[in-house]
Amino acid sequence: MKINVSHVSTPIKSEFDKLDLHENKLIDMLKTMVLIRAFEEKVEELYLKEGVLIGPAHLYFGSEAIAAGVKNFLQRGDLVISHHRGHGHAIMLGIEPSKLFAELLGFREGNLRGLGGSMHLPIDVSKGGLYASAIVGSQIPIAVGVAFSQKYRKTGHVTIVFLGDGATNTGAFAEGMVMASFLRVPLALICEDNKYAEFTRTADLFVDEDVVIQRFLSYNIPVLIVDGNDPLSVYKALKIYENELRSGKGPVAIVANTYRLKGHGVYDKAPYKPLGEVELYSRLKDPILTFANRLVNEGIITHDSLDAIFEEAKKSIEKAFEEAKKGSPLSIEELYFYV
Amino acid sequence: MKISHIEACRQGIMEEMERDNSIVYIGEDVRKGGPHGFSKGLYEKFGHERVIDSPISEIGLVGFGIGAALEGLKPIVEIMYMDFLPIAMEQIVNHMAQARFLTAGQKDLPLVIRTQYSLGRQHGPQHSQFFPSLFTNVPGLNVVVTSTPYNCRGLYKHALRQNKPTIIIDPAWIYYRFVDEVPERDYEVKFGKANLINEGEDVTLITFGRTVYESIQALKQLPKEVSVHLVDLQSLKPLDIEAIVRAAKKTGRVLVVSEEHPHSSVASYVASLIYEYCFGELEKPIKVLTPPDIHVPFSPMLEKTYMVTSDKIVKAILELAE
Repeated sequence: MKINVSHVSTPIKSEFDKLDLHENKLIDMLKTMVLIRAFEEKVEELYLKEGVLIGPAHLYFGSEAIAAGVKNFLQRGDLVISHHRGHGHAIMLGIEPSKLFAELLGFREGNLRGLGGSMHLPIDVSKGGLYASAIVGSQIPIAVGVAFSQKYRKTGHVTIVFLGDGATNTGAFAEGMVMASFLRVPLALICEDNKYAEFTRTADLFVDEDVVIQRFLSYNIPVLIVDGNDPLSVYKALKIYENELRSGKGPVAIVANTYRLKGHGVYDKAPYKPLGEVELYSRLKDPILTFANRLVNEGIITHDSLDAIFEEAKKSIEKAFEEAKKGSPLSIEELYFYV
Repeated sequence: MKISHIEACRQGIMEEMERDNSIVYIGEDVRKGGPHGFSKGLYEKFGHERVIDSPISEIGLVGFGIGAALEGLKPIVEIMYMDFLPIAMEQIVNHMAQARFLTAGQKDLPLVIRTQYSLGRQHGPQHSQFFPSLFTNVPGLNVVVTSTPYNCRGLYKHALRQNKPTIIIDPAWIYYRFVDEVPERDYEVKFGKANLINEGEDVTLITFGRTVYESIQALKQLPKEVSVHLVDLQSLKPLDIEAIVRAAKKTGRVLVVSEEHPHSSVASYVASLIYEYCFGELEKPIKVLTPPDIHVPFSPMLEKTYMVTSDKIVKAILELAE
């Protein structure tokens, strides 16, 4: 079979038609990224400054472009399987931020009635968010089964599964790859390579920096390496794969190179990161700033409307939290219904 | 019709697969019937889309089943030996059992994992184990153990008509040994109901799995004046607590028999329930008969000594009846 390794460069305006892109879609990508960032900033504040939220939370700072690229590829009926670092996926799916805050607060008004919390946030079946695993890597074989069902029932839909670079070290990843490649399911594996596996640089665990790519290839799964800080790059890779995916020719992988701007969890200040690394990425590679600048430079958006997008996102997030605060938890007796 | 246990299991599964297109059967070597011929004929009848030979990837296999069940299918995932189930323990405990909880009731998980334990078949320490309490300890799972041609056919049918994640365990030792009359009509054996095999007055015997067969033999060996109230639990979770309590009160002398390791076993839980609900009505302390807390030895002579045989059951009954 054909093994396909290539680097995808950012498309320019002339490629819009071919990629089914238009200006509205670009602006939507930006808005999605900005909304995710605004949500995560509020979440971080509620944990660290106000202490209103407690328990683990793995923030999506830095990976927003990946969610935004995927969002614009998804069709109704496509399904998303996520992981512990999934707040961005939840926003991407269009789950109301007020429900997400209610979930983080542990309230019955949450999308998971307060049963799941941060690590399962992107679950809302009506929105295509089918499942999210808090155990690193375990979502992968599950996603294979989901995609198998789509193929078996000839739906033409695809499953998107998110995984981190660290997850490729798990047994579940390996066995998931065995199953995916053997069953030829319509599954897009999106590796959000944010360079850190918890407190450890992923590179320190690998003998070769291309290990993640080699792993996909060794299971006969084609892989594209993209700039995970650029939503167009992620989107374009999915478009390249679309026919293959929707016609049931099998799984594909995308390695989206990005950078985790924060610690592993919300409380982790990441003292193990090299001095100046975060600052460097923030200044040069922040996906939102980079993309916003490009849209301004290419004349797709004005400075004023850009400001309005940021302002609007912030306001809607504040409003969502105010609404969520009014909730209350389920009673313990009610829990039996969910077992 | 008079059929063997394995034939009855297969019939139950085949009839449900005919009835319901969303059932797919996946496991190692299943197209060739597997090492015991359990799935013989399924591939010929239902084809490659519905009967799938899996790689030796138990984590992948169970994960696959969870995903397929989340998205509208009713997969039967065959794990060849119960000893291989712990390979997929993470998938079972964190995902299979929790899917409904984690989706806050948005999704049920009609996944059936079927497996067998080969105790008594000289398969050695890693192909003979029986540890249902590893799974009954987890909320959200149905755990059932078949024991007769009648109940296995009905339990498989019921498993495939309900929506909760289920682990069905067959004692392979009885696959071909236990041949019995089974009605041809369609019937289900519902979970959460124990089966009263024999009405008796002197001693209550509560058991499940392979030792149901041994208990039936034991009843034949007993002197006529001792009558035994024999209950097969069938469904370990949900557990028929009412039937357990009723049976215990009937005689006040209770023997719980199982082939689990004794510590934190289903048998010990059953005993604790009886103490909790009818302590005052017991005439003697409950007796729990299990193998010792030792791994299953290969040596055919030692394995036989290790197991719970009808002779041991007879001895325990007579001690209680005294």
